[in-house]
Amino acid sequence: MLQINDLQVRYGDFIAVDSCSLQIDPGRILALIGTNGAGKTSLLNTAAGLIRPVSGQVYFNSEEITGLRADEVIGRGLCLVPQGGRCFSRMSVQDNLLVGSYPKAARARAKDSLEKVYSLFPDLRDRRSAPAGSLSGGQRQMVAIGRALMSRPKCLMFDEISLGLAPVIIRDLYECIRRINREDGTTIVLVEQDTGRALEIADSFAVMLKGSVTMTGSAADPDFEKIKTAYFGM
Amino acid sequence: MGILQLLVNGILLGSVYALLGLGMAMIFGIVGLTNLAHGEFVILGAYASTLTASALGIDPVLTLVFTVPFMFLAGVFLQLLLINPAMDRGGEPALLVTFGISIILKDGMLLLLSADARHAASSYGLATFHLAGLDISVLNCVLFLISTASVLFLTLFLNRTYTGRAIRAVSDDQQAAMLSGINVRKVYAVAMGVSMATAAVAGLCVGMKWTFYPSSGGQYLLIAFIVVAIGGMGSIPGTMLAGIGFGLAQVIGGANYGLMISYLCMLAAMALRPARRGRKL
Repeated sequence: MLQINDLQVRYGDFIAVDSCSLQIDPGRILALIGTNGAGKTSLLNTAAGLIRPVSGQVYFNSEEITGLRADEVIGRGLCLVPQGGRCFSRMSVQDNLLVGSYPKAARARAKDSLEKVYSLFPDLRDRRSAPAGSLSGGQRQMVAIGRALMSRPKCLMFDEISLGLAPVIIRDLYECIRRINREDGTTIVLVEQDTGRALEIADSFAVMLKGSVTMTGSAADPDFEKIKTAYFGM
Repeated sequence: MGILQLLVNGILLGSVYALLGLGMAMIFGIVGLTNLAHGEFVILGAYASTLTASALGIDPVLTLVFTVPFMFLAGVFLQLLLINPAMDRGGEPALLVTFGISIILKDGMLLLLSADARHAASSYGLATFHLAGLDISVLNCVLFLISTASVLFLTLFLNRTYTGRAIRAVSDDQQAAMLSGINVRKVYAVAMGVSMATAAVAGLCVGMKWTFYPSSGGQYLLIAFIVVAIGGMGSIPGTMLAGIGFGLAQVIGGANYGLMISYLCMLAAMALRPARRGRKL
């Protein structure tokens, strides 16, 4: 589904992602874990088209998407929910969601998609005319997920969706992600710092350290000793 | 003149000022650019309407059918071909490009159209009617209707269409907009097109109400600046209110004190509400 080959990303002299390779099979959930500054966000942002890599390739559905703009990447069905959700705080909840169906292919199904998002997140239906900025942190994250779903993605990437949220809310959001994966067969990439929680829902995992993937494995029977070594590099 | 008469005149004129500010506020709020050529765009619109009206022998208002699409397309191409590439190099180069466009337009109009004063004459230019003891200018009413209709149309466009929502999304959070599948450069181009279309309408109003020269742009740029500064940089209701406030200041202060009152309002607005300088549309 999504394949990353030998990717390098730099910010000036700083190398954020270095000779990083990763592969995700269709319909699965992959947890990408690692410490602060391991390069997880840079990797996702590059795949989503926000950053151009220095070298390496990104393939989606066996087509190369390296260096495409973010709006072109979305058009192919790869969508990123950025850190903190980043909903449009001055726009109403419903307008936020409708922005998500801006890509041409998604517009014809906007009505269906909207209904679907509201059934997944009933809270949002009640507050659809409220400005997104007035919502709670958890609800804003729902708006961000809903907005991403409106584009009818084949693969969804979540960047630290649990950051700063209460455990009860995180559990609900994770349950929703599991539903999206099961009901639509959407492939999921989950970037998390909370290793335990991410491994509970994922099929497989990858550990990143200092810009590259140091370990991959199945989430069914993780070897925590090995993960610890890969995570901290010692 | 009675107070009521002043109020009516101020409000009718204020809608034109609001439209002047709105075009400026759009570029400021969405593209994040101070468009120094906005005044010249307005004068370009005024010339386009005046010349078309006299060439075809029609009422100046009808020329909007030609000038609005023409200015819209001009704005789209201007942004795509000149301003977007400049913006890749940062904010200052883009600002300088708009300054350059303003000089080229001003001198181009001087070269082609001479320095003579122009005016878009209409059959009802001097007509007035009486209502509840007030003398109301027909021309002012026509201008009020045109400007208000444009603002309403713009509001509907921004709230009800995919492109309009994309424009608001870009002004709210550009990166999140990109991640929602929006091509930001295209949105910039549409925003510049819409801004120039509002300049076409504002130009018609200016041309019908006052005389203008190729060099009149600076004066209208200044008005647009003041309206945007008072109105809070890009909210439509705020800009409308600021425009009407400016209109009232002009009418109450007259030729002697009008501008001074407006400047004082601007200074007061900027001093009292520094927090409201955020982008909003």
